[in-house]
Amino acid sequence: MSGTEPDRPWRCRTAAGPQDGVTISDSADDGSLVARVRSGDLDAYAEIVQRHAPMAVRTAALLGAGADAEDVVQEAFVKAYRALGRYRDGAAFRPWLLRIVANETRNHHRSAVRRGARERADFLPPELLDPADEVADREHKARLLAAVADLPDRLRVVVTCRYLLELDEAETATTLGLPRGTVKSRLNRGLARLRSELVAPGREADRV
Amino acid sequence: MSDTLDGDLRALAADLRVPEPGPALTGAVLARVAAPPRRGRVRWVVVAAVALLLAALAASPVGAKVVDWFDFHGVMVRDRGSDLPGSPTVPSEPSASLEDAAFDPLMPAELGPPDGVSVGEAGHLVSMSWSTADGTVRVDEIDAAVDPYFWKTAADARLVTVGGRSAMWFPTPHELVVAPSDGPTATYAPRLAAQTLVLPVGGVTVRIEGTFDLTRAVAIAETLE
Repeated sequence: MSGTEPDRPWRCRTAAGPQDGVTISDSADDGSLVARVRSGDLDAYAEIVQRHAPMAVRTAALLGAGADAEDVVQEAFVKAYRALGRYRDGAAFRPWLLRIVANETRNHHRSAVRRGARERADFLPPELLDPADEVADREHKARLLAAVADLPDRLRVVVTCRYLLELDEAETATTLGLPRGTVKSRLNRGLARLRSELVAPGREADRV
Repeated sequence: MSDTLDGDLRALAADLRVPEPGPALTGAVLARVAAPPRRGRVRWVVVAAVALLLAALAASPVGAKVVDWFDFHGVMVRDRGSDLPGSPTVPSEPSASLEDAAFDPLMPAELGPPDGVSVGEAGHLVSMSWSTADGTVRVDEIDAAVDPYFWKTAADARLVTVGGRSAMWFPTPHELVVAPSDGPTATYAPRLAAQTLVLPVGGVTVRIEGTFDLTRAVAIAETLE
């Protein structure tokens, strides 16, 4: 993967449990857990939930579930359990699950809008973590985040999956239920848009 | 420029504050998948099965973990014996009138008129208390159904029958969790450091607390009218 440092906050802060900081791509292990769940072993499903919950919550939150991310994820895990019969052995488990999370996030968002909770209730940019960043750096990040949030939905979700959730292209495609080619082209358009967005408005030189 | 944007996005990813799964998540999921979709009648069978399952699980270290996961806010029935004060609390407004209740409260004929009555939560909660020779008896009635998870997580409860209806007997003080049809679940802390009988009657959930044994509790419950 990229140059993400192992001690990045969100990786370490994932869970206050035994799964602390776990990296979630051990598909062999997922596969055997799934097999155990199918044979009726609930402990195995508990393990799956624990293992994937941090990434699932992050995904729901960044795709627009905001403060309801955990509710959405709970729903997604219940649905995933019931859909386990349709999970293809050998397929990557994480994107299969994240697709359910993404769908659930969309459903949730729709019903929130239907309830009139928020007309355009999308994506509230999450906060930035590191207060130690230099001011200019923080401003830059904040602008970038706002620019991502302002992208049209279909571009935003692709950029979010690929970059903010750090999924690869194949995982992004599965998660969003899109063909690989569409992911590529939307990614390009999204990035192009971000570039022009970031150049256009306040291009004040970061002079002091 | 393109490389910069790429790198900037990755740096941004590492710097986002996003929610983390709470400790309740796994338990909530397990409680739901362990139960088939809601069905009134079969629910009791499920309860018994889950109670047995939990008892069996508790015997193994992994299982104990699973049982721990059921121990989360809002859904569980918690043993509160240790942090209750010694003296029982009773409803503080003896003058409150049953007229204020949003539903018809059931009265345990066995106990006669209550010494204290209070009505709260816009009429949806009615509490009554009696001083008896055996100590205080307290009855809370809420016009909401018991949260289905409540049954499933009541590991130390005993399923009993009261006047043909299913009820749960807790030998220790317990919270009660109900799920109003139009709102989020609500938790009611135990009011007495005592035994507890919970029974749903129609759409109303009745909790009877007192320092009595099961036979006595059932006798009181059977006179509810």
